[in-house]
Amino acid sequence: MPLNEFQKKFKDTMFQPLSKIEDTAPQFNGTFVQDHISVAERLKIYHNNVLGSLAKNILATYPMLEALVGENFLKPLAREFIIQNPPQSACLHYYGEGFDTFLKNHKATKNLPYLPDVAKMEWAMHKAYHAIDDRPLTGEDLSAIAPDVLPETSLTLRASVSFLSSPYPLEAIRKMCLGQSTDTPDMEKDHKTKLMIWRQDLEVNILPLGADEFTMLDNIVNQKTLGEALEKTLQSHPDFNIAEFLTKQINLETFLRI
Amino acid sequence: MADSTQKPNQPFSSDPPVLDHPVGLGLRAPHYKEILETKPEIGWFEVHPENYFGGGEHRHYLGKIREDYPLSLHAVGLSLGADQPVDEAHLRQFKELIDIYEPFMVSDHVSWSASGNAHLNDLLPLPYNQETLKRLKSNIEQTQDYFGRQIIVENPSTYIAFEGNEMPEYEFMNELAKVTGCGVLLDVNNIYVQSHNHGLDPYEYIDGVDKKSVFEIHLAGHTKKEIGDHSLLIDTHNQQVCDPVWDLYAYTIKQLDRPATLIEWDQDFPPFKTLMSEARQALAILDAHKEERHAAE
Repeated sequence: MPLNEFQKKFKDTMFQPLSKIEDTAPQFNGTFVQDHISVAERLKIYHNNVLGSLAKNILATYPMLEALVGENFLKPLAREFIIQNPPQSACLHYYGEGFDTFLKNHKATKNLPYLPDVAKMEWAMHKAYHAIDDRPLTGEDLSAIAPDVLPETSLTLRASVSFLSSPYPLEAIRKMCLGQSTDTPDMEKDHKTKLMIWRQDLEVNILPLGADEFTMLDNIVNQKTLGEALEKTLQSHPDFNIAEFLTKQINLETFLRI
Repeated sequence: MADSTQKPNQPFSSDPPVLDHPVGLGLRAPHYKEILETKPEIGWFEVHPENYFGGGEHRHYLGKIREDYPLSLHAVGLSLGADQPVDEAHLRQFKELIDIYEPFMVSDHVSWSASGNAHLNDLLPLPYNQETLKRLKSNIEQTQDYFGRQIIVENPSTYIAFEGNEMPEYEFMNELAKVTGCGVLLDVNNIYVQSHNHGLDPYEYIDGVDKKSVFEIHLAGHTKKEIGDHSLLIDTHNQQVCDPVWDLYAYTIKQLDRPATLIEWDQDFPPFKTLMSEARQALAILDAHKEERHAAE
């Protein structure tokens, strides 16, 4: 079998449930040596290495999910996710994105509607932890921009920054998972949670945001200029204070140096 | 905050470890702080570059530790044996680390892990034939050209053998070094694992390796998996080096000139002192051989 065909078949064999290995092993007749240990048994070693290591990686990326639903519930879901979404890079820091959407669409989590949002928070924390060490925009950098040019300036978030909104009490869930609280969070009412998650130096931080700050950050990402972002924010939050916002976000090192 | 494109303040030496201190350890996150606090007596450290793509605390600690120790970058993701070119994005991020941390050695494996866009996160087996040799040659040359330096490649642990093998593994490694100018990273534990899993003589394997090409040795622990009345050894890197592998190491180093030797441990991490004890055992074997050789001269 040519190398390319062998590698494609082997890959397809790995990204399938363990129960299918016995059925697919015969396609390697003539390729692998048959001896006292069957080809299927030998393929299972690789299958366990590939799916096992990737599932371990997913569980390490989503420790709160594991704390909430347990390894026995989460691991089969992780394996299913892996089979549907093999890694696209050899660097596993980038692997596991989209697990929130996978959970959202999975029947097993129908009665756990908060789970995808917890996953979203954990991915944001994971992304922040591994983000590149880019340089923040400082107060000095901002002061150097002439006041008449400032509205035409566009700001970019640093690689580590995410912000998310959820009806669930994500902070209370996190405290419970970390063992910092024994209170059971109220999942019924809409908590209107808005969070910013980012890294400053080596620490990943989580900060609740006001609705106006959240809207402004969202507009900064989606509008062309700071002026346009402000104008749009003022439409829904007429009392929004841009000076306070900028001072706070500069201190948090949210924006990328221009 | 440091810019990832900037070099740390202290200039790094890219010299190889001195011959008096040829034993290194795999550097893993659980031990960062202890290493910085205790400055252990060890020749060098080795890391998987893929763990240092991006930024944050891993690069922070690596930069600090690199100020005191030589470093080797041992990749697991180039997928040199895949029937496709090496991923340019992977090479670019890897090269950035080489430029920052100036390792004395850069290595990967004689294996594959990517097919199309999918990465399997394992070191997968290859048939030892001319087609594989040609593919590896092309990918090793692509990598060496991109890095502007020689790399070394490690013999794998495998759990399945190919009908189409045209030569034994050691001969394949020799041929690879000959046609690409790359070096060999001889993993003695892998040779032991291969011998058990495929019914080979590990000493014959060692004798067959062209020693001129060997630039580094790896030692690690493995796990036995029983399958019916038989067993396979799995290269798990989660326990101490076993006695037969130490014996094989002692035999190997007699044919080499105090080679850089690494103790690898990748899961179920023990206290750091256990790794140091393994390293001291390797050093004692190297020293004993040095004395033997001096006595004979």
